[in-house]
Amino acid sequence: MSALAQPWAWRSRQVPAEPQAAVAWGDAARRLHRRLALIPAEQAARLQATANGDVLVVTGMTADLPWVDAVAYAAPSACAPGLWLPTRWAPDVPEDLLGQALSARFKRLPLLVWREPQVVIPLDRLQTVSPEVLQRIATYWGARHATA
Amino acid sequence: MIAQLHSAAAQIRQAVRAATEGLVGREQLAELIVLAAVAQEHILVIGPPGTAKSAVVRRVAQSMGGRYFEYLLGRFTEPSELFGAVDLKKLREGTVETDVSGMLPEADIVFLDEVFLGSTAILNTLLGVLNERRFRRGHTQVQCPLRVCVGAANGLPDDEALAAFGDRFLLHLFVESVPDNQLEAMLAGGWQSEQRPVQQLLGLTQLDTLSQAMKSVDLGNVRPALAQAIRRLREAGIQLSDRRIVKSQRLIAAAALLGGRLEASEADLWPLLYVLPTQETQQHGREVLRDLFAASSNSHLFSAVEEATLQPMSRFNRLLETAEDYLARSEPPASAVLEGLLREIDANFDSQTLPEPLQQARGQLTRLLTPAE
Repeated sequence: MSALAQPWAWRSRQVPAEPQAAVAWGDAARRLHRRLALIPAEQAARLQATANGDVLVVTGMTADLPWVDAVAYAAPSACAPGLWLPTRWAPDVPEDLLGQALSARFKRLPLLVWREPQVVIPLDRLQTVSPEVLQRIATYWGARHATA
Repeated sequence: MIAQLHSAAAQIRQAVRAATEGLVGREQLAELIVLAAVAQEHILVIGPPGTAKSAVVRRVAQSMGGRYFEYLLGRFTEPSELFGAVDLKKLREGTVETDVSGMLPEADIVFLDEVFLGSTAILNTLLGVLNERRFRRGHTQVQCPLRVCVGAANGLPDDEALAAFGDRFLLHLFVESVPDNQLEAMLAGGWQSEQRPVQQLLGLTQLDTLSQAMKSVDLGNVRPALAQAIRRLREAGIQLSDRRIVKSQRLIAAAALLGGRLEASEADLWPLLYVLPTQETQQHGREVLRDLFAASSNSHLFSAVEEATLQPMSRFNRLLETAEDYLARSEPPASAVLEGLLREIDANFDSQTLPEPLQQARGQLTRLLTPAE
């Protein structure tokens, strides 16, 4: 991955991080969306979500995070506040430097850096999960689908 | 012989599970008590009060059977409170003998809370019991059946004499309060475990079978790796006394036995981490020895290996056992519990790294969940 001047790569973590976000793409994002619609309101109130094109990201405490098949998990970097990474992967460059470089380039924080697909997702517009927010995400996806 | 070992190790595993049911995050302590008991060594548990140390030791003792002795030491504790009072009948006859019935010298499993508060007289007598399994006081000399002594304290002592006493506990385990994300599980589990008495699942015979097999364990293959590990620790500035280095072999042999093997391998090196005496040296040592610990695993002591080595394969054993337990239940656990396990599996492994047995169990767990759609 080389969104920056200096190329870098992913390495798998010996010790996976404690999940603090569920990340789902494509069909899994739709399943996660349906799962969120079924969770109790008090649990939903402890979760925050953002949808971005084909991806749905839900953040919260580990025990509250929903599970659906093909969902993946992310967590904030221990040494770079504002940089979120997959639980099983870490960059092979210092995380604080990567975080600084990405925030200079994208001008938004926090940022979730994903491995497959290789994208950077801003997490600065997270909203507490509620039927209204879920409806807005569904409408957004529906509109994109209709215009695709 | 091997079949006997397997059966004893599997029964001990069951007893550990029963003893720690409902006690969140305390499997590691129960497993290390068992490891120490097989190795005929002792364990020191260091951590804040109220972290379920005594509950775990008591429940492990109950599940194994045998005589149990527990005492909270204070500055004014008299030796007689632990070892028994002077036998007055014998005293009239002119000999100073101690009546040890029902006291520490007769116990199989001993738990001493605030162990460093004991007086010099208590600690000196304890040294004999811990090192030689022999109680000596006045004219009394008793061979002690002690399998394992668990000492507990809030911290390691600064005083040199006390530190030397602490050094007699070969295993040092540092425990913390349950983390925030496990508070709900701790509350529910603690409530349940208070209601449910522990069944005795073993006699001490299974433990003795393994202890007696210690001398038959072949350590030839693991010694070069152990020496290499000690060299690495020294290079990193972590010193271990020669006594602790030599005795660590007992723990390695016990780990092999609890894995059902008579030949120790690199998979059994992990107890070395708990031989490091302080929390700082354990944290540093875990990093220094990370690649030497890569092969570590044990089919019966998952949590202790996982905490020592932080390796995915030891985590795999624990996740697989939990999955198999859920799948074997006539009434599957609640969806939230199943989801929690699936979340942990998926946070640790992807489709390329997920080992086959866990992949199968994951598929079955997925089918147990009511589909969200």
